[in-house]
Amino acid sequence: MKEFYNLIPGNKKEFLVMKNTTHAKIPIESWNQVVAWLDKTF
Amino acid sequence: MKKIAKTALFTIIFLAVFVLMAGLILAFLPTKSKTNHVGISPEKAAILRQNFAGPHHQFTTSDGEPLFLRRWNPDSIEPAKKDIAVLIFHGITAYSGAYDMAGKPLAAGGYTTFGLDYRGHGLSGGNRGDNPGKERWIADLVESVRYVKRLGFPKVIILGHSLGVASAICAADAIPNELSGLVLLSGAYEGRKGLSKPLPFFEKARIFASSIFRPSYPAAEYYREGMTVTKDSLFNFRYTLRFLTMLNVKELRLPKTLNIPVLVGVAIKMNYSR
Repeated sequence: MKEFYNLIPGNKKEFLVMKNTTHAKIPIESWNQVVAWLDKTF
Repeated sequence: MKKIAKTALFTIIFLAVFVLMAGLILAFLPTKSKTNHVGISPEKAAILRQNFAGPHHQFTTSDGEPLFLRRWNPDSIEPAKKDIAVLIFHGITAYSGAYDMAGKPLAAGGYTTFGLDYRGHGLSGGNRGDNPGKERWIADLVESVRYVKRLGFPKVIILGHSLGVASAICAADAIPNELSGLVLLSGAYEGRKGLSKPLPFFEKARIFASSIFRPSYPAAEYYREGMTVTKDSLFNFRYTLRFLTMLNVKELRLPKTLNIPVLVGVAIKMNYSR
């Protein structure tokens, strides 16, 4: 995943670690982190 | 000399007929499901789509296929967020309904959120677990972005999960100037090593033969050891070979000139439960 992150162009990229998350089930805490990023970015 | 040529010709014809017959038998050979999952037909998807009561949209692609867009609305929209839509591209086997887990908190955060059911998935039309090819796949994604924009959301942020990350990259590559941001979660870019066992030769031959003699038949079952399979019939675990091979996810790249905000999320304690 780090390799993938490094390949992303531009200087507006951020990395998020979603804890206690399975591949298919992402807890609300992680979605709230996404919302916080959206609020901060847009 | 004439006798040798005749024998050679008969041998070639015999071998060709043998290969043809073996291929046909392999292609139509019934197989035991590992998932025991029962999906739905395109006809059933059409009925469910017409009867779907929740917020949603449906648009027709440029080649005439109806695609379903689930919608999650905020209770109230702040002026700063009224132009923004989040468009979810789902993972393999899934459909937008599985993304209530995302749609609800995103809408609660004030973002109008949409979830596309890919062609052949969920409540969208099309042969189940299939897509004619990469160009059509990308066209479907691009058309979904443009449809959402036409609904009154000039700023579209794609949120891709698993296979949806590959979808988001495809869309960003096709229409880099039409997107406002990307959220890429648990990408299918790199799977865990040793997670999938290689298929036995016979199984590979069966899937290959099916792809030759009936390419639109979903002969390959998506299954990984230890995977918990949902009983939700709108999920899809059977795929055509042309669907599974149309993208080489490791070769996908975002365009070098792209300079929009990108959030990359990675799950820890990851497993592949469904």
